[in-house]
Amino acid sequence: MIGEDHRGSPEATLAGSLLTVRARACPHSVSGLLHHILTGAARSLLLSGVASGPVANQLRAHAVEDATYALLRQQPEFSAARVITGRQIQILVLLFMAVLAILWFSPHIGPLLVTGVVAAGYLANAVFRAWLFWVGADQTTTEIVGTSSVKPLPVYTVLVPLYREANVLPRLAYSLRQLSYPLDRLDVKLIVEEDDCETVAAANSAAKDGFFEVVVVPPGEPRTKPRACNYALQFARGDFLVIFDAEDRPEADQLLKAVHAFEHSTPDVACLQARLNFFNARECWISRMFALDYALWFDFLLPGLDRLGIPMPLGGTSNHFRVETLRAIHGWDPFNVTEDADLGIRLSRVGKRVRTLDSTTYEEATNATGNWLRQRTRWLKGYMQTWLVHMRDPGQLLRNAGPAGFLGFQLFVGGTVLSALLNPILWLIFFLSLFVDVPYLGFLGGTHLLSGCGLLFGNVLFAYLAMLGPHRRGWLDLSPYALTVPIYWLLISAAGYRAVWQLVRNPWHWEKTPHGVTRMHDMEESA
Amino acid sequence: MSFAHLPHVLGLGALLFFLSGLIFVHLRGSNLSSFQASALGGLSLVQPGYLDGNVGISAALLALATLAVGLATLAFVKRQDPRRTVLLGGSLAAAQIVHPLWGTAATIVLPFTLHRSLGVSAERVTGLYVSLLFLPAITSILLVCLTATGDLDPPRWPSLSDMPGKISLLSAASTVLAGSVFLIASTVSLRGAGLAALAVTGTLVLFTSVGLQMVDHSAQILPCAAAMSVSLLLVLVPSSKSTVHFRTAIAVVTANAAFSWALPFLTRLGQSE
Repeated sequence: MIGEDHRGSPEATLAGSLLTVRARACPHSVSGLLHHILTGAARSLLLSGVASGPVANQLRAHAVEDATYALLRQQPEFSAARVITGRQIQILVLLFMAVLAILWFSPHIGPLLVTGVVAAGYLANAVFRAWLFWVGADQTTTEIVGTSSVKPLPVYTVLVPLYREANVLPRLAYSLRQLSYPLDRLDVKLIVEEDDCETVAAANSAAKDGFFEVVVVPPGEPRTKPRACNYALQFARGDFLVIFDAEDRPEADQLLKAVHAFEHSTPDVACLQARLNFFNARECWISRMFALDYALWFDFLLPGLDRLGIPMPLGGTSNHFRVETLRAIHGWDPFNVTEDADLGIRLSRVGKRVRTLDSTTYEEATNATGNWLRQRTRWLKGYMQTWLVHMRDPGQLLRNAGPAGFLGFQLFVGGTVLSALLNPILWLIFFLSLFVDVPYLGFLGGTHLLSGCGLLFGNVLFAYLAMLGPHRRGWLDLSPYALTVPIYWLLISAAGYRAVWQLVRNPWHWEKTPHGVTRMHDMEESA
Repeated sequence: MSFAHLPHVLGLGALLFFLSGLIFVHLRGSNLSSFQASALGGLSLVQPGYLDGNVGISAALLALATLAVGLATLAFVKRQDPRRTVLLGGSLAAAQIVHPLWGTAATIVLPFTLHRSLGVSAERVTGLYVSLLFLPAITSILLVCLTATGDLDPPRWPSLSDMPGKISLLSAASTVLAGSVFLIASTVSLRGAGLAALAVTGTLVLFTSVGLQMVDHSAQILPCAAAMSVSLLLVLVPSSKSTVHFRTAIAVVTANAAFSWALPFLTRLGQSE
């Protein structure tokens, strides 16, 4: 790490001169070039934000612009900078009008029809997940298992975006040092925001021994994790790259496993998603439910998508990439608040494959309902963005992903959002038809039965899947908590409606989840 | 046979075809030749219940449910993975629909036997129970609700008040038998646990069905005999690694078939007393 005393030094000036030549040669495509031309001190100076002079500043500005707008410039159809297109608004309005018309002109059949469609949508999502579970539960795994023995190992870049997380840095440093990978083949980058002084100071302090490099991201909007990662990607030296969050504790051999899996995969496999779960799963009710959620998602549903070749939305961390491919598709979308999910779909659309990796990263589950709600709101908002982006041209998506991929995308990405939104509607219809006698509105036996069946089978299926989720890890003590899934689902629905509101009001706002607040720090403690 | 009976015959034929297919696959997987598997499987299907116009489908369904529960139990004993958990829970739920009394008995007995013999730790046992019993419990609740609202009339689910003294005696005997099997199962090997569980369910099928036969005279004994026949196959050929003495198996299954054909006469004798 280069300290403040390097500002304006001869070394920095020299680096600046070198950078000027390169920037002039290719002023609009800084991304992908920097890692080739920058070496040693020049790299460190630019990374740390202390290189001075107009050239260095210009280059940094280019790098920031590239990090923010490369995707928007090169492939605007995939950028969430535009939330919804005019055509999509027209379709949504038409759909809404059609529902109103059905209810108005056919008061007896209309409610039945609408309830039937709502219940069918809810059930379809539940049944699809059940099928994915079944496929993902197959013991004869197709995942490539083993650790690499190739010498020398490829350089592996580890990106760790940090924001107001100075308190978790010591623990993070410890976890990353536990990785079984040669130190000289690791390129670990702590990504910090320039105006987050406390984290910058802590990162600089942690980087004193040279194990980490600190990448200081100049301020700008949207202030999102993908923007910071895109900025750091331009300085990545590795052939492969992985993202870890500040509170992550990856299994020690995860990088070796990833290299081995990449070595034995076809070149079209561009990304590997490791499994995620929580080291503080047993801290409280919400963390237990969260753990059930993650166990089902990462241990069964994503492997199910992998086996079926359906586009896979990535989880927020422990995504391992081939750097070349990641650069070729312009990294993450800085305007999408679930940039990982979007990236997984985008990779599939350009003919690349995302597979799962049999290695776990343990994260910190939020232990407060408020924090959980904010985090889930962001995820659901991001899923809405992702769905809207990729459904701008459904025909193209169908051609890119194929019929199964197209349907899978609707059910898995669209279905996740739709289930969250439909669940309370079904409860409402059910209770209204139970207690309110409004026969002219059609709240008769049929409506009651349909909403009841939708609720019953949907919730039973969701609860059962959640119950089986922890079986692969042997965490059977968590299974009984799955009986409270209907309550958890109401919370998800609350987050879903909050997400809709935010999508309209503030689509790119990133609600930061605070970490380092758990009282449990070890798996053993949790167990 | 008139055209009115055609759906019944077709339904029965389809069920028996499926049942025989499952039996054949299971026996072939146990290192028996195609001829041996066909002979043993075919013999196990020579049951009077399937030929009875009134209970033919019930007999086939009960046999199928028994086979499903048995195979799922054996699979679960070998490895407790999520798919096998679903299969066992699902088969127990299906058993409740096919035969509520037997299904309920099997649902109570099986998980307990498995837990004792699989040596599940205390903190995980609730999870195991919940995961195994969830589907059967939901099915029970649904059946009770449908019965209460009059939408369903399960013929083999009589109220306890209808049961005379003999049935109480049989129920008590079943409980004692089940209790002894629990004790045995807690000390025997995993494979033994599976066999013990099958023996318990098989015995419960016999006891409950004979009991119900005496209560409502609805020829319950024939479906029971058909179910016992496939249970016997699982006990004789429980897994692919077991050594099967073909001749012994043929002898036992033949004896059971003969007993099954004699059962209606024995029951009538019992009733006339």
